[in-house]
Amino acid sequence: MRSKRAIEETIRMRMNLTLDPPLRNQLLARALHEQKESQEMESAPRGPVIRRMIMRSPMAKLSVAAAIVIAASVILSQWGSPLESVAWADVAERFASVPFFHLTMYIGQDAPAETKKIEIWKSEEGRFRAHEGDKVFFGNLTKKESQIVAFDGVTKKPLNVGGHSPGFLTMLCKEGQFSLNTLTASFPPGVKGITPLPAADTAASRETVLFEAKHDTTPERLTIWALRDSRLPIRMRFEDPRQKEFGDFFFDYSEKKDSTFFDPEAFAHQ
Amino acid sequence: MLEDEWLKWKLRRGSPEALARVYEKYIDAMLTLAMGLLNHRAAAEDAVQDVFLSFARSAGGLRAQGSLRSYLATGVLNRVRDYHRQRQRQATPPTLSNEPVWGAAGPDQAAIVAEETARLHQAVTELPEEQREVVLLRLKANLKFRDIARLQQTSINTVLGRYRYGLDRLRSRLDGEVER
Repeated sequence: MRSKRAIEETIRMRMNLTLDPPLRNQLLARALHEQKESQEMESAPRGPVIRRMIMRSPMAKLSVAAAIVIAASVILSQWGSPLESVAWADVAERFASVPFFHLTMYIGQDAPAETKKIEIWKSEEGRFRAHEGDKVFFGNLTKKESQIVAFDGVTKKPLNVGGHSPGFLTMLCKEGQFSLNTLTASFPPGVKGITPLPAADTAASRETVLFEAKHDTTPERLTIWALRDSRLPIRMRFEDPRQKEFGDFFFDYSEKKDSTFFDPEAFAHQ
Repeated sequence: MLEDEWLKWKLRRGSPEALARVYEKYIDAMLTLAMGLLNHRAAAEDAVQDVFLSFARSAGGLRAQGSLRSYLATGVLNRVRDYHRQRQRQATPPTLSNEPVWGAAGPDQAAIVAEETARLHQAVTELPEEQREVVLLRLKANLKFRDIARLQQTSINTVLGRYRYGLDRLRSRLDGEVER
């Protein structure tokens, strides 16, 4: 007489099908095509519609002209500013060299209830720990075949992450390094060219420098705040006003966690 | 889950890499689920194809809460129900597949495993539809009982009962055959 658990395991392990390779590739190609088409349909009319609106309305024309004049005067006011310019490449390079950090991500859409909070810590040795809700994840991304292990944060029981390695953390990392460019590359293909924003010489701008990237045809926008002296990023914010969607990333470099914090064995036996 | 959150976020940004990752991660599990519910390979492949193409079209506005697995599994279940409804309207009895489609049928697979798998498949196929849905959604799609209850529009206790009866039936069916 086999147990219920045995039956469950048999169904889990034995009933498995795979799609035949030709059909598999064909279907993926079709899905990617559908995705591209639906994106094009969504974004294509935006540019011309806005342009048409501006060209038709005298008030809109005046507003655009005023905005251009203001922007130009802001840029001109920076001419000869004592503030040293900081390039995005300096920030990305500086971040790649930090030994440890703590990143808090808030990803959400309109209602606060839908906002997800994810935290990631990186150790000097290239180990990671991440928290999402009541789940805790551990990974070591310096290893080539890194496995991510997960636990229930309350019961400390191991969780099945589906055997999908390397998973989320490695999407952010290349060769064991957490890269800002990998993170920004996950934004839409149209969001390109991260450039510093001109800023007036204020107390805030003496401390921080702002970078921005905008989408070619949609109102999506990425803003990055970095410390002027250390060149370290402290915040990245992505916004899509169409869907009231945002991703807010806060970086912290102040607290170095000890090695047990990154040790899944130690966590399980706490 | 963590990876799914990231993938959903990237999908809303229109990332083709994220779509390819979701596809590779879930296509086989969804095919297995569809096959378990339909017992017809071609219909199962059609259902999965519909689900992924519709997913690809709507990924830019994806607002799924929870795991992508349960989101896709819900899509598969809806397609399966449409298929059953369509067949009922046409008054056509369901065509059961006789192909040995479960498990890898390669020469390296032990015959006993293949036989056991075929018996298991047959036993699952013979479960009443509601029990089969609960067992497969739970074990092949990792859905929570409360989510299955929502899909079946019934109480969680009913779902737990269906799961228990389903497993009991499978057990008695499989053990009965061994004893015979």
